[in-house]
Amino acid sequence: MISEIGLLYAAGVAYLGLLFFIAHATERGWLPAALVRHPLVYILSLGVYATTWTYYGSVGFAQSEGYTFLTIYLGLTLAFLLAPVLLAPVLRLVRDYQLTSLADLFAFRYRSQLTGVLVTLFMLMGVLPYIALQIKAVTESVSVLTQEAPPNLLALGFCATLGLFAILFGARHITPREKHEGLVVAIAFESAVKLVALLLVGGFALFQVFGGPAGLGDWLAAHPQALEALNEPVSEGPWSSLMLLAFAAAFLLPRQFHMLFVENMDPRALQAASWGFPLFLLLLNLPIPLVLWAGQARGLEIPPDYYVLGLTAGDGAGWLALLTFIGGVSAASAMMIVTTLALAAMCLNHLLLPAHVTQQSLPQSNLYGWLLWGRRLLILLIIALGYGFYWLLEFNQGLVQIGLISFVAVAQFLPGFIALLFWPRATRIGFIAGLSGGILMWLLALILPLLEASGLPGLPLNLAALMGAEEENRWAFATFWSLAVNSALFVLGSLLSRPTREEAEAALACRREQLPPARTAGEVQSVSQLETHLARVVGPQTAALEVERALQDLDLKATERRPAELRRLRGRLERNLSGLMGPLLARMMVDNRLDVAPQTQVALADSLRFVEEQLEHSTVRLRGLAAELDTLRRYHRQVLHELPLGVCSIAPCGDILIWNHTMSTISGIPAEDAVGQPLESLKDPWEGVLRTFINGDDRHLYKLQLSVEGRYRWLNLHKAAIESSVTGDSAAHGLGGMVVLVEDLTELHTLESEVAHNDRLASIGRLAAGVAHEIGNPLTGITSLAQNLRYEQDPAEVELTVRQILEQTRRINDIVQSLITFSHAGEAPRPLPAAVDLRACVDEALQLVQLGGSGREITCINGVPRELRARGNQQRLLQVFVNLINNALQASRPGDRVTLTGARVPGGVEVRVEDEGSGIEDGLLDQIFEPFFTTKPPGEGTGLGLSVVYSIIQDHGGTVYADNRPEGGTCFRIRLPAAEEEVMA
Amino acid sequence: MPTLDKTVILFLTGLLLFASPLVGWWSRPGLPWFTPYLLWGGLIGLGALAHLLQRRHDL
Repeated sequence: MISEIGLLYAAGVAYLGLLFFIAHATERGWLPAALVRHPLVYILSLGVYATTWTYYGSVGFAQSEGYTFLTIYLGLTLAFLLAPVLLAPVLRLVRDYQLTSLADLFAFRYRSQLTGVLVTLFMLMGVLPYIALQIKAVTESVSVLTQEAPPNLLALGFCATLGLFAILFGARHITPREKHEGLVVAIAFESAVKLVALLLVGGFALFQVFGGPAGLGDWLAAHPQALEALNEPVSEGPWSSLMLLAFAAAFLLPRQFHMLFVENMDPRALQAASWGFPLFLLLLNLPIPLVLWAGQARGLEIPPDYYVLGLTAGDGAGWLALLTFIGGVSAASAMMIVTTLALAAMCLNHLLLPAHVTQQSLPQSNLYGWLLWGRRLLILLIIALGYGFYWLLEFNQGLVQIGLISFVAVAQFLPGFIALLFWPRATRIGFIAGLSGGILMWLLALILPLLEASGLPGLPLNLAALMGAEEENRWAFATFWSLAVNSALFVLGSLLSRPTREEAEAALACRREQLPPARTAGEVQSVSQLETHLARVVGPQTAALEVERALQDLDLKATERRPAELRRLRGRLERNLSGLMGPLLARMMVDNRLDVAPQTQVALADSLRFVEEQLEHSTVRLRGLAAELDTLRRYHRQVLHELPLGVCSIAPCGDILIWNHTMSTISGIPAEDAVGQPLESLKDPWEGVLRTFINGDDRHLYKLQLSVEGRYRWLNLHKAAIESSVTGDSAAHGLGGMVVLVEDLTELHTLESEVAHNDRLASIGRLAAGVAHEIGNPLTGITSLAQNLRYEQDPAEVELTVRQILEQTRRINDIVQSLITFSHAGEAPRPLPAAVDLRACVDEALQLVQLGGSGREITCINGVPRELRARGNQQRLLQVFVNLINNALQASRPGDRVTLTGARVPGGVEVRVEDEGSGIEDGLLDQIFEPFFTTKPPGEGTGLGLSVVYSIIQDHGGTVYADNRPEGGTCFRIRLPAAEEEVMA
Repeated sequence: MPTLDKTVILFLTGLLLFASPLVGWWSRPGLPWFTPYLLWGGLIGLGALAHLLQRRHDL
C-alpha cells in the first residue's frame, strides 16, 4: 500500500501539471502539426469515452455480469462501423453550420428554442451524477491506496484544477472554427496513459500473479467456475439493451459529441477512427478478465471495482500502483473536462444567451469577451454542481450503475438523432413529445429508485417493480420502455403535426438536399448596410469582425453589391454567428436584421449556383436514374462551356447566369467576375452592347465592330428568349430571361482583309503593263520637251515648254497616286466613314482599269450623277468599282459598252454597273459572290473579285445584287447608305 | 464495392456476431476465454481492411 497521501496528491498534481504543459506546448506550436493532426491523436482523444467506469468499474461489472461488460464497447463498435452513414453526415453538418453541441444540432433541425432548452436541461440531469461519479472514483482510489478516508480538500482541489484546465485550454476560442488543439492532444495523452496503465496491470496479472499464460490456463482449469461466471450472463442478462445503450452513447454522450464532431480537425480522421477507436477499446478491455481472476486468485478484500488498483498496490509494485492511480485520474479528469465544456456550450447557447437576447441585455462592445467569460463561468458552475452531487448523493451503487443511468438518459436522443438524418417528416412537436415521454420514463424507472436508495426524499415509486420486472432486468426494462414511449410519441406527434417551413428547410439541409434560401423582403443592398444592421444587435466591433470574416470565407470584397453574393454573405454570417451563439439566435438575428435581395429572380441566380454546388458535392451519393441525369447534366454543361460561341444567359432581372469560356475569352471578363453580377456591372463596352441588343427588336446583329482592350473585334450577336415552356415546372422559380450568343468574326474578318489585299495586289500586277505604258507616254513627251528646251531661246516658248513638262509630270503623279491609293485600300487603321463622291470614285476606278489596258475597244460611260454621295470609305469603294468594272469588261465583247449609273433610292443610294456581255447563267447567280468562285478557265481568275465586293459592301451596311439584263448582259446593283447631306437633300 | 455496401455488410456481420443468438455459441463452455475478443478483433480487422481498400481506391 502507498501510505503517503501526500505522495498521491503530489503525483496527481504533477500529472495534471504535465497535462497543462502538453496542452500549452501544443497551443504554442511546439509539437509538430503533423503529429497534432494525426488520426491517431483523434482516435486517442475519443478515448474520453473510457471513464473511471471502464478503468475501474469494468472489473466489477465483469464480476457481476460476466462478459456483458463488453456490450458497452461492442455497441460502440457497431455505431462506428456505421460511421459513413451515421457519423460522417453529422460531422459535415456540425462543420458546415458551426454547431457546438448536441443541443445546437437538435435546435438547428427542429427549429425551436424549447428543443434546445429541453435537451440542455435533460443532459444536465443525466450527466451531472456521472461527473459526481468521477470525483467519487478518484477519492475512493486514494482511499484504496492509503487505506484511510481521503480529506475533503482532495475532491475540491481536484475539481478546481480541472475547472482551471477546462477554462485555459477548452474555452480559449469562442468560435468552433478554431479548434482547441491543446485540449485534444491532452485528452489523447490521457487516453494513452489509461491504455498503458491498464495493459501493464493486465501484464502484471498474467505474469506476476499467474506466472504466464500456462499458469493462467492451469488456474482456469482448476477454477472452471471463473470462466463460466463470465460466459453465463451473456445469454441471460440485458445484453441487447446494453448494446443499444452503448450504440447511442457512442455519439450522443456530450463528451463523445464534443470530441467526435466539434473538435474534429480533419474529417478524414473519422474514417480511421471507425476501426481505430474500437481497436483502442478492445486493447483497453483485454486485461479486464485477467485482473478479475488475478484479484480472485489473490483473494483481495476490496470491491472488485478497485481490483485494478488493489492488485498492484498490494504486491509491492509501488510504481505500478502509482501509475494505475494516475491512469484513474486520467480517466476521471478527461471525462470531467470534456463533459463540462460540452455542457457549458449548451447552457450558454440555450439557457444564458436566449435570456439575455430576450431582455436585450447583450453587451454592445466586446461581445466575444462576454461570451468567452460566460462560457468560463458556466464551466466552473457545472463543475461545482458535479461536486454538489458528489456530496449529496450517497453512492451505494456501483460505478457502472450510475454510468448506465446516464447512458439511458442520452439514449433518449436516439430517435431524434436518427430522424434528423433519415426522416424529413419529423417535427419539433414530435421530438419534444417523444423526449418528454422518454424523460418521464427515465425518471420513474431509474431516478426515483436511485433517490430512494440514496436516502434522499422522493416518491417511493419503483416502476420496474410495479410492472413486475425483476431487479436484474431493470436496465432492459428502463431502456425498452423509455425508448418505446419516446419513439411512439415522437412518431405520433410528428404525424399529427406539420413541419414548419423552417423545419422543412432544416430537414433538407440535414439530408444535404437543401432548397434555395428563402426569399424575403429585401432592404440590404451593400456590405456596409449589412454591417450596420448587424451592429444593432451585436455591437459595431463584433459586427465589423464578423462581416470581415465572412467576406474572407467567401473571398468577396467589401464593395460587393451583387444581390446573390450578398445573400451568400448573409448565409455565411448566419453560420458564423451560429458558432458564437447557437443556430437559433443566429437565424433570428439574420432573419430580423439582414433581409436581402427582394426579387424572385435573384433566387434563380442563387438556385443555379446552389444546385451546381450541391450536385458537385454529392456525386458519390447519386444512384440509378439520378446518376444518369447528372451525367447528362455534366455533358450538357460541358458542351455549353466548351462551345466555340460565346454564351451568355441573363435572368429577367438582368443578372448574368451563364458566362461560358468563349465568352470570357472574347470579352476578357472571367466567368467568376460576371456570373451573378447585374448586367450594369460589366465593363465597357459590354454592358452597353448587351443591353442595347437585348432591349432592341433585332434578333441578330451582324459584323458589329467593337474596340476591346485596344484592338478591334468584329462580332455577330444572336439572341433568343428563354420561354417558360422550355423550363417546364421550374417556371415557379422565376425562370425566363434571355440567352445571347456571341460569334467572334475577328479572325474571319482578318482573313477577308487579306483576301481583299491579295486581290488588289493581283490587280496591280495586271495593271503593271498599262501603268508602264501610261507613264511611258508622258515620259517620252517630257524627254522631247526637255531636249527642245535646251535649244529654245524665246522666254515665252521656254515658259510654255516648262508648263507642258509640269503637265506631263502631273499626269504621272496622278497615275502613281491612284496606284498607291488602290494598293493601300483596306489597311488598318481604317478611316471613319465619310461622304464619298461616287462619280469621282467611279472616274478614278475607270482610270485605273484603263491603265490595265483591258477593254480598250469597249466604251465605259460614267453616268453617275455629280451630287450622289454615299457614306463609306473611299478607298474601299474604289476597290469595289475597280472589281466590278474589270468584271464587266472581261464579260464584254469589242464594241460593247459598260455603263455606270446612279440614283437616290429610299434609305440610300444605288449604283448600277451594266454590261452588254453574255450574262451569267441563272443557276450560278447565287454563287458568284462566294470566294474562289469563277467561270473562267483555271489560271485566269482568282475568283476573289466579287467576294471582296460582297464583303466590302456588307461592311458598309449595304447590299449588292447581280441580275441578267433582259436585253443581254449583266447588271450589278449596289446599295449603300446615303451620306448625311444626301439624306438631307 | 461502394462504401455503403461495405458499411452495411460490416454492420450486419457485427449484429450477427454480437446481437443474435450466435452469442450463445461463442459463450458456451469449452472455448478459450479470449474468444469474444478474437471475434471483436476480427470484426475490427474487416473494418480496417475496408478502410484501407477504400483509401487505395481513392488514390
